[in-house]
Amino acid sequence: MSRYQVAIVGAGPAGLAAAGEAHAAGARALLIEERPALGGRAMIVPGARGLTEGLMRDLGGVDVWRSSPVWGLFGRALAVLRGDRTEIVTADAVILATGARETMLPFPGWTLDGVMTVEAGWEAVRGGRIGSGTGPVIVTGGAEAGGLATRLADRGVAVATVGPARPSGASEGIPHHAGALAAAEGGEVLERIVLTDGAVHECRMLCVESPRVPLVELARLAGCPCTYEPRLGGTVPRYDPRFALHGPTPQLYVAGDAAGVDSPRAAAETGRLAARYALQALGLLADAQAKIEESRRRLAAASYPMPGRAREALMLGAVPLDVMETLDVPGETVICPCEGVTVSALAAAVAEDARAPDDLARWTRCGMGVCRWRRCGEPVLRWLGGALGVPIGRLPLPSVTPPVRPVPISALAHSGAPAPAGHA
Amino acid sequence: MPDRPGGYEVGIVGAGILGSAIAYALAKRRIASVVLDESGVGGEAPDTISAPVRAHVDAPAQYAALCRRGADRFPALQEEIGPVEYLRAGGLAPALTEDQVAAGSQVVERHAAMGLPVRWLSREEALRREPALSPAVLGAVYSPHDGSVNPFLLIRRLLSTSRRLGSGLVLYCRHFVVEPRGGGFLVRTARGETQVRRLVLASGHGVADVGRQLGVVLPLRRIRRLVLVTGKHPPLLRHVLARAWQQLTGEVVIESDAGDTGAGPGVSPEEMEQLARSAVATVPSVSEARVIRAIAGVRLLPAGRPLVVGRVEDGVYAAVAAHAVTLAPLVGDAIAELVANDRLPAGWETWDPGDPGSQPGDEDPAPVATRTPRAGTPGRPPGGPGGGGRGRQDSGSTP
Repeated sequence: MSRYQVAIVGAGPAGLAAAGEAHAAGARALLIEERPALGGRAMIVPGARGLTEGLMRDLGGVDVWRSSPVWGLFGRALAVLRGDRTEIVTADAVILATGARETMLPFPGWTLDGVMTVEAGWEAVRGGRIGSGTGPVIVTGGAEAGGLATRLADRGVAVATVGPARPSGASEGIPHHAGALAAAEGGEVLERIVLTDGAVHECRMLCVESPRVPLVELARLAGCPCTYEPRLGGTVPRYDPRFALHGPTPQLYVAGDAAGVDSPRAAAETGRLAARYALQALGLLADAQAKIEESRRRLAAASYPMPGRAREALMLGAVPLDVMETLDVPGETVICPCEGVTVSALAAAVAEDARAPDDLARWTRCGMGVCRWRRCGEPVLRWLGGALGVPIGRLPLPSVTPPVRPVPISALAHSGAPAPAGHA
Repeated sequence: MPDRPGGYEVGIVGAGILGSAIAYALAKRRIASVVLDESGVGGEAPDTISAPVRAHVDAPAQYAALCRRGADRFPALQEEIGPVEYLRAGGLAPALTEDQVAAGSQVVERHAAMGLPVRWLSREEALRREPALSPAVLGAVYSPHDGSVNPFLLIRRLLSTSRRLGSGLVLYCRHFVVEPRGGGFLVRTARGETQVRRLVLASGHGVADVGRQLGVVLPLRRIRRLVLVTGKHPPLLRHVLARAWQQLTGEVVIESDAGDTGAGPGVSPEEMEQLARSAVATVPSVSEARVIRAIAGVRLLPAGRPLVVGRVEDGVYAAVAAHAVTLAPLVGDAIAELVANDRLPAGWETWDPGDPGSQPGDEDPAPVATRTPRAGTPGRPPGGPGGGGRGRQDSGSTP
């Protein structure tokens, strides 16, 4: 069991900025990152690398745990998987900067090997898994898709874009097929895509720019209520003007894209602000009021207009407007890849009075697999809202239980003490 | 609320395993029932996708015999309603201490006296049957008729078969108010109202609450139950162990009862650690499996007895059982027989009334439920018929 004054989960721009603030205030701080490298998405998708590298230089004496997934949050105690054991970390303040995850919305064939998000496409580029030998690649979406297409073309990959219009940022030489994606096809592996007008294009890799959804499992595990705010990326935790989470445990904060998807600079500023509020509450921040006001001004300048306004309203307790979302895909489309559950299986369950994601789980095993709703949660909520005619924010969320990452039983039973005999 | 002229013969409160089995048994006799639940299917049951079917239990001999009969119904039940991932793997309760050896031997003797095929395995036999067991095992109780089933699939198939035969199902009917009306009961909920001639309290959400509205206190207790579920794992366990088994689909389930604690709904890391450690002590190789869910659920059990099945008062019946999944087919038949012919089926009368797990009869010294002065007819909630925003709060306030 380790004790810290401030513990920060996630080392993207928000977590790094928060850790830097904690260090500057002289707090004993711990920064925990699931991946081997710091920087989060900002080090993968271009645009914020400079910002992130600058923040890394300010970490000073902060303890940093890499490759350490946090699998539970109990009050202010974090359960962290470190190597082959679990470590419990308690802190006087916990800042959740878990980011957002690009979440593909299902379409026929989306689970084929070779179909991925633009973020995953960038990861393949960074990991050196793409080169001139890679088969034809198709990229679809907006500016980030365009950027990826250009990078792939620079590497000598045969790449084309698909969409109603050429993605901004895609260089001139890249072929563009006007149209909308209808399906991906292949055996186990992607072989071609089909557009709504019936046109077919051969490819081995398809990158689909997808909505970024805040990662809120830890906040929900801590008992924090959530709300659906599409301007912030979907389901977000409720928090007050000091970025403190609603719920039973004080001194839990949220920052960055986990609090609502915004610009990388805004993420860093929310991390800084959340840390300053936390440090102020702990009595560790000199000249707190002035520092907080300075941070607030910088956040206002760094925010995109829409998420900025939505975040301000959320902090003041505003309830977002009801939004109807739907997911219109053929019934045979798989919606839960872990368990292979199709849309028509969900429809059959709804016909038998299933009304909530948990009902769908019990009826069909949807969401019961190893990803724990991470891939299918958002699509299922959209589909269910559409099927029931209920605004998505009024649906109950799937229940969340620890561990939020798979944990080997050996890592749960880590301690060296003799086990109680004769359990089974 | 399904609009059925004249209402339903039977209203069943609780869309859990017992409620759905009762609906199915009634439907087979062409008795129209409607299953009502304040939440979704399965209610407060822990979210495991697998439950043991136990032919042997460490309980009074006659209850154990009932469990055996219940377990033996599953192959035929699966034929009737469709696959429910039932697997008769055989049950094995390993003993790791001398105390457990002594207790296990007694269990074997009791079952043998009833003529049940439960036997004791030596250490070598136990390890041969279940090689994943710890080499520290001293022996094991072996019961060839134990198995496992997917309880939600079971509930779903029972309910959908019942529906095909004409019974109704209403989930999420909150603000549940029951009042005697016209020789039966009027059930009002946020989703409308329906008239039923008789009422079955079948565990699930709100049984105690509905019982109170009728002036009946059922002897119930709530048990905290902890479960770890792993991701799909290569074959590891062949048998249903006392507190761990592997599903047909590969998940390993590890469970334990944590007593009548009032602790919160969440599971603590200490509880998870203890559960994991004791599982590893029994099956060392389970340590490689990766846990994807830890659940703290609540089981509603009869207090002071393993089973409450019977008539509570005119037109009101109750069904709560410790081994609800195993006993579901029998409990369904028993309630259906009570409703149809006002008696329990053959085999249930042999119960010794002096036994704490006794079946209630008219002269039963340990009645199935206690009558309390009726709290008053529930006031009609504001908002007119089918509204019912404050129905439950009102139920105790009318003089």
